Amino acid sequence: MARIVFHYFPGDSFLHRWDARCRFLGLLLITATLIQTSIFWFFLDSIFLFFLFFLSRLPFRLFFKDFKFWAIFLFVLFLFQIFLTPGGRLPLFPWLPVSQEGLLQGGLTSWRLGLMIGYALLFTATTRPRDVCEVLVWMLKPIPFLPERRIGLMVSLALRFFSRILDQVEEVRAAHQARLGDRNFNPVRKAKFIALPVLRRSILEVEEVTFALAARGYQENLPSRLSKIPLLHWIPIILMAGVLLLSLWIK
Amino acid sequence: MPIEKLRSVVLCSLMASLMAAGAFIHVPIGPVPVVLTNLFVLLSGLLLGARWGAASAALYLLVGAIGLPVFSGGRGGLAHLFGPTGGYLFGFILSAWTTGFISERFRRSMTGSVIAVIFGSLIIYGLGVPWLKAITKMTWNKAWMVGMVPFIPGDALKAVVAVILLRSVKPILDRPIRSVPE
Repeated sequence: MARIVFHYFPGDSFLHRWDARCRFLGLLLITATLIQTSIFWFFLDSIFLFFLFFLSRLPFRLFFKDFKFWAIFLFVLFLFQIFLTPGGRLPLFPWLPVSQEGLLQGGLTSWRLGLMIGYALLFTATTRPRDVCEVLVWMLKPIPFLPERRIGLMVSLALRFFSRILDQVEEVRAAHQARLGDRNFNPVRKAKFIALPVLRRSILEVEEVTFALAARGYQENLPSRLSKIPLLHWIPIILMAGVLLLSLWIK
Repeated sequence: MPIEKLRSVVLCSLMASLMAAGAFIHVPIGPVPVVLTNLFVLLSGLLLGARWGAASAALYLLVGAIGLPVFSGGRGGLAHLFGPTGGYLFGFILSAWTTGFISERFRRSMTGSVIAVIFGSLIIYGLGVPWLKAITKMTWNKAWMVGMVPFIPGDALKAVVAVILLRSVKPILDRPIRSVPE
């Protein structure tokens, strides 16, 4: 069966219970603070990230498993910056081919990217894909000429097809191997022999799904059933927006 | 909704899923393993045209953004979408649109398809490399060397396969949809 690994981690924390739409708005507000290169904001956002992480009660193992790839990337990026940015040498270690400007720039860039990734991972780990679909429909609803219901249907169809295709690829690969097809080293033929049967089967399946939808009388003009956001869930957003506006006003 | 339009909606979802599955299908042809996502991006433009092709690429990004591991290497989520390789991902939308647009202008002829996949492939780099440079603060030279040169042979191969696949599956799509049985 399908090997879809959802990045969502089930839980019963405040963050899990917080309405996904408010959570997404919160993510946007935090991302807005990270656009400017300000050590004050980076520091505040780092503390807030740790606070939210403890609040989410997610296992550290899960978070670091996802973060591991990014940590390696950020480290390589940091090394690039410190060694390749021109500038004065470090007074304490003049023998090191590292510039002061590179150290500062590399540190800030990696810090900002690390925070962005950390917040995005936290959002994904605490939000069910179905809730994200709801967020999307809610966000797209006010935009004129955008069929939010159709987009919702397409996302659910895409998820359904995705697992079917992965299964079909395995079947085709096994059939190909049974016929000694894996001994052919021509890459064009290799790609064609895997992609073509999968594509043909999938396209034939499209017709069946189309009929199934038509037979069930699929319509786009039905009223959407989005729940109302409870007033309490708006409070963290109002607080976050308040802090952001206050800091901009003081600046 | 007319049944032809409904079929386009379902087909668009299928192409998005194929793009996602393409990230899992590795074809080892050298030091850089080739994944088939780009192939299905180009194919969606060729098969569905500019509008629906771009919609299927956008849908693929949407599915990735909600956290499913559909991007290359089994990754997903907003971090990956807005990360260093985000330019390539957003380039998929423009690539599918351009491929479809050129293919439609040439009335889906063989020559048109070849020109379309060449431009479609270039557009992905056109967005991906500057994005990579902006995020990582690399020099232009390095960004091109890291973000484009190693992938050129694989992408050329995918463009060829996309045109071959188009010729194989186009007859299935071109036939009129059967009417719903009474």
